[in-house]
Amino acid sequence: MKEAGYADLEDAALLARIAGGDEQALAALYDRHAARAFSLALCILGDPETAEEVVLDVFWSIWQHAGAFAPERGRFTTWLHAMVRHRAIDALRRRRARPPQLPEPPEEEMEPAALDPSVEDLVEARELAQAVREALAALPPAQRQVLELAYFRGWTHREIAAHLGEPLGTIKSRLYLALRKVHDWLAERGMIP
Amino acid sequence: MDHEILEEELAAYALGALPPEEAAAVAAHLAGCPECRERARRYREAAAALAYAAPLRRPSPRLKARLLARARGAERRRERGLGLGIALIAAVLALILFAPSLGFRFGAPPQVVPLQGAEAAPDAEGYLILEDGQALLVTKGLAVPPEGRVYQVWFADAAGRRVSGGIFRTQPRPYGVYTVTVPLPLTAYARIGVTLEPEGGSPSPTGPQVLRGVLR
Ligand SMILES: [Zn+2]
Repeated sequence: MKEAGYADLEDAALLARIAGGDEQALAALYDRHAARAFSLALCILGDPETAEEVVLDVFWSIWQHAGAFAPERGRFTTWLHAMVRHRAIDALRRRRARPPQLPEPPEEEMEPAALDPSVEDLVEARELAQAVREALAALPPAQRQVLELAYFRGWTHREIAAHLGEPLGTIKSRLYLALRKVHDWLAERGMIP
Repeated sequence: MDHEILEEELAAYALGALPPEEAAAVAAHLAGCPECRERARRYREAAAALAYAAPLRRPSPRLKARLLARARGAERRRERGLGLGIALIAAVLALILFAPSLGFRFGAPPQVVPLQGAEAAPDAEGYLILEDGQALLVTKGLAVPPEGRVYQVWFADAAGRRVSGGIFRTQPRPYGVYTVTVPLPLTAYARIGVTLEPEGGSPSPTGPQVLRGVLR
């Protein structure tokens, strides 16, 4: 499925080619990152159709603004996932704006999905995914819940406190403890800089 | 230095879980405090890694075909009619968040000023995205200027005095994104406009206006 030659190029090199209008480079970048981007959008939205529109929009923006990505600033995936998350949460809020009610509680569990190596072919990505799942599994459920509400629902700490009926101060410290533990877990394993 | 920002606030900030006014306060502190900036960066890395907690799923093969068809221009005409969407704004905001030349920003609420096409380009549209004294101009449907001419951005105060926000040339693409020099204090200015000017720009506007908007 991969375009010969392009699969070996780093993200920054592909982006430089995309900025020059190279469609094959866009295809290669998509092959490498679309599954992870789609999975994130799907986890936020719960609806494959809207999730695909989000991914399409984001890759379309990359096609149009690839030259604006500065590799020295950080990993392309950090940038990509931030764009996907922004866009998916936007879509989520628009959908929720119609029936004025409190959002659903998060899905029961983020089940440790069986890894399909043919989907995520980057070894670092697979290892990072594994480490993040372990870090979350190691959190007390209440801490994990607030972290998921903030990240996958895009709620503020006030919205989380109102939804759970808990004091704001409790939610603030829970969020902090949860993110801190995830950070330390990943940093100890050399998964994040 | 007195770090009035608590560790808890930095964590919530990195997750984008602060209400806009609180995020703005944190951003203001970070702008002047490398120590807290470094702490916030670490939280941001951890927050970014949460994307990998999502169970891995594959989009339909049709999606790639649609993307490539669009890139080849097959859907270009339809695309032109869609207007500047939230997607583009989100994309541009993400560029602000990660663009080194624009500094470290995460979660600060930007101000988005819509711009309308003026007499010389009635079909053009745009947005000015302002964040902490830095700005990006997003344009749509603005023609490539004639040889020897450029577009110039102007900020005007209530008395009609104008300062330049810089010049740019559009590319033959439907959208363009440009950095703008924001005069300080910005609150002294009421309106923004874009005019067509000779190469190198002018000390004050001389050419026809292509975009205009009102600053709040
Ligand atoms: Zn500080």
